[in-house]
Amino acid sequence: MNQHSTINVVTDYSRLQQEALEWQVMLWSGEVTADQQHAFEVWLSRSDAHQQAWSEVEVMQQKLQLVPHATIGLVKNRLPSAKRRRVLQMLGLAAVTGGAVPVVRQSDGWQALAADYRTHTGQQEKVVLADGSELIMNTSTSVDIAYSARERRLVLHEGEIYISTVADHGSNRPLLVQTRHGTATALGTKFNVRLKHHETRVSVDEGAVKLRSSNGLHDLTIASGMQAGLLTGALSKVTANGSENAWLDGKLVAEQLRLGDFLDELSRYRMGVIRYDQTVANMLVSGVFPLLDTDRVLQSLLQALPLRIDYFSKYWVTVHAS
Amino acid sequence: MPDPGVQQQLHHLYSHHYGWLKAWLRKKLSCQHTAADLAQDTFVRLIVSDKKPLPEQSRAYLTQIAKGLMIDLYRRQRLELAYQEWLLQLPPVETPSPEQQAIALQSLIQLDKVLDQLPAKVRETFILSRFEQLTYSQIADQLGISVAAVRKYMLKATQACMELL
Repeated sequence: MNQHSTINVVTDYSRLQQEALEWQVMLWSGEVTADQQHAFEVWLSRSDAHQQAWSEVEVMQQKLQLVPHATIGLVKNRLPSAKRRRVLQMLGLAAVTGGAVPVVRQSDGWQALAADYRTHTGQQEKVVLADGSELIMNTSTSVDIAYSARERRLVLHEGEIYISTVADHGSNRPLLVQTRHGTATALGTKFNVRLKHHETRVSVDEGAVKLRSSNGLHDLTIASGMQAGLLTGALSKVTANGSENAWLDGKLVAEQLRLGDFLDELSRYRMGVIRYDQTVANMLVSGVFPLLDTDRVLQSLLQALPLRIDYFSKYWVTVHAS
Repeated sequence: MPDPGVQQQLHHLYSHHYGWLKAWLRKKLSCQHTAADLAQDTFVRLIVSDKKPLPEQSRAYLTQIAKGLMIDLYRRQRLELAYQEWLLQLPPVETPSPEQQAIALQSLIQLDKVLDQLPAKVRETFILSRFEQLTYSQIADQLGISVAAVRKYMLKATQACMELL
């Protein structure tokens, strides 16, 4: 008998919890009528158990309120469905990479983390592949090696690589680098591939490289000393190489570079974030800087330009006008 | 009391697999301490899951769990950074207490998990309501669904939040 009534109480309480949830959903509609509000208050005042059930919902609701609106973009961004993206873009809610969360750079997310080879911020590494080709990885880079009987495929998920190919003895398999923007196929060569947010930039040192956009509609061969970008479904114009490959010597070369662009580039090599005021973004920087000592680079900027640098912490640097 | 057979099996797994798993994680994470923690967590996850992989599948099984944990860690780090950045933008007087910060971050991480388990429409509806402050009619218009469907989705999402938040 006793046992029976306990079960009843438990069932009743879980029913109250369910009702409390339903009220919460109603109250969140943004269109609550006076009658509905009144009905809720009547419900709430019916017993202590009702109030208890409601207070549990309130705890959840308070926790939700603590979640800042500014961070919800990341949660939302997890969803790759194209349709969803369109809806969010329509509402102006999409696009979270870059601006909102500067440390999360142009990467393919978790694939980057689980890749075959990976470098961390400020790290560079050389890898010799099974066929003798050489791969130099720049900061924050991840690559999967997918060699098969037909081809030698490298998948760049994030970052930048410099490749020196060797002939594939016996089988002549093509060597290609794949990114989300398309592929770059080596035609006996040394070349650099950098994956950025909107494009994959390929610059050729020796030999030639054939680019093909991911939709397969566009291709283009670039010769040594030249570079071009693979964009989603398109290719950019071919231009001459600048000092893109100075990173191989651990240097960052700036020739009349906007300070904003310079700091963005520098932040690739530094843990945390470098922020700057728009007032300083258009100052110009020239010089050759040591990439792997970003603290020193920041200090040397202070000597050359009218700047002030604040360190919230080692990982949070802000550059202002002095 | 754990069955001694199971215990022995776990001991065997641990002694044969902890070493390479930690080394593998270390290569991926390049932080010795995180790698050791995650390797440990991988075994905990295995024990809790109550599954016993066949010896020839142990390696693949542990790798799979470890990858899942790395992804969780990566998500968590991204969320933490986003939250830190948001904090830094606040005027000092509005900065929440360290305790509130901890609760908020925990809630954010949990919410991310909750929403990940929900169908896209439900998740969308919930975000538009709770974070974009749209009314149910506005959401219905926006997503091309009925207000009744919005209510149904909200109930589903709210239930999931109740369970996990």
